[in-house]
Amino acid sequence: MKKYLKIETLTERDVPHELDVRILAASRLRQNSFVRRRRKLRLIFSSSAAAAALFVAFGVSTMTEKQDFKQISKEEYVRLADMTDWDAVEQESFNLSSELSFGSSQVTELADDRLNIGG
Amino acid sequence: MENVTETTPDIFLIKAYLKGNSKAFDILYYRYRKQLYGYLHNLLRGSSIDVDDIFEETWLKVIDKLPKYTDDGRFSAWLFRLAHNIFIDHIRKKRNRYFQSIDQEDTPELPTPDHHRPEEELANRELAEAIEDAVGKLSTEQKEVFLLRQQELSFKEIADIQQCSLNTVLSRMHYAIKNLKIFLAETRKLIK
Repeated sequence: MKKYLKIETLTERDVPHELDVRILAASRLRQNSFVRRRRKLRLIFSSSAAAAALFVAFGVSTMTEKQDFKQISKEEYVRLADMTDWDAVEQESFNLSSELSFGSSQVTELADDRLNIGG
Repeated sequence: MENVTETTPDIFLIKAYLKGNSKAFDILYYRYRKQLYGYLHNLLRGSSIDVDDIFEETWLKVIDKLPKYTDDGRFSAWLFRLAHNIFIDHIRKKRNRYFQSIDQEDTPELPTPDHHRPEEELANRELAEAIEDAVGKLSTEQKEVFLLRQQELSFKEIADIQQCSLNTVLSRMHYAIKNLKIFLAETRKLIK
């Protein structure tokens, strides 16, 4: 910018005190409304977010209810809880397999006998 | 609450004010109030339009528009633009015959000597007062350009305020300085 004469009285002048008082008072009054509006907007946004989260949670729980998941009864829960004892599970499966192998050997013997008889 | 000081930039003062810091606006106001008042005082010199009215109306408008203020230019340019618009509104309402038409670019008449004022008074007048008087005789557009340049606004900012081309602003400044030289030369002749 070219430098040229700058006249102070053209650029600045004292402001009457009553003007300062009125303008600053107006700024405080208006500021209250700005702050209130910000708080209201913030409340609306946070309420909307909470409502949206509730809606999603409700939607998810409703969808899970519609699927045929069997509600586990208390007795079954206790039995299943017992089954978490792996020693018992192992024993039971051994017993079962023993029965199966005994049964299958009996069937084999019976089949051999029939063959011999048929001979 | 954000801490603001005398050196906090304008945009941060505005943000702090909108968040509830009343001291922020005070700092902003005290930073520019004298400049705006000086500008309006000289712009409205000899006019029936009250400087205080326009000054107060400008700041009330500033407060109102602060939530929408965008930092795409200097705050001072924005402030003077608001003042200019309010000033134009007042002119249109009042239709004061003292001011020439807004659209005219003609050179103002040379001042005729005031025979009622003793030469001793003219002789005692300081240079600044003489220049103020000379500025007061310019056309509205030339006066505004000259005064806004005194406020260190760029020609581009002034063109934006006056809603005209850069060339028009430069032309107005050229004629403003030319006419001021003529007025001051006449004043010197009167003093002699």
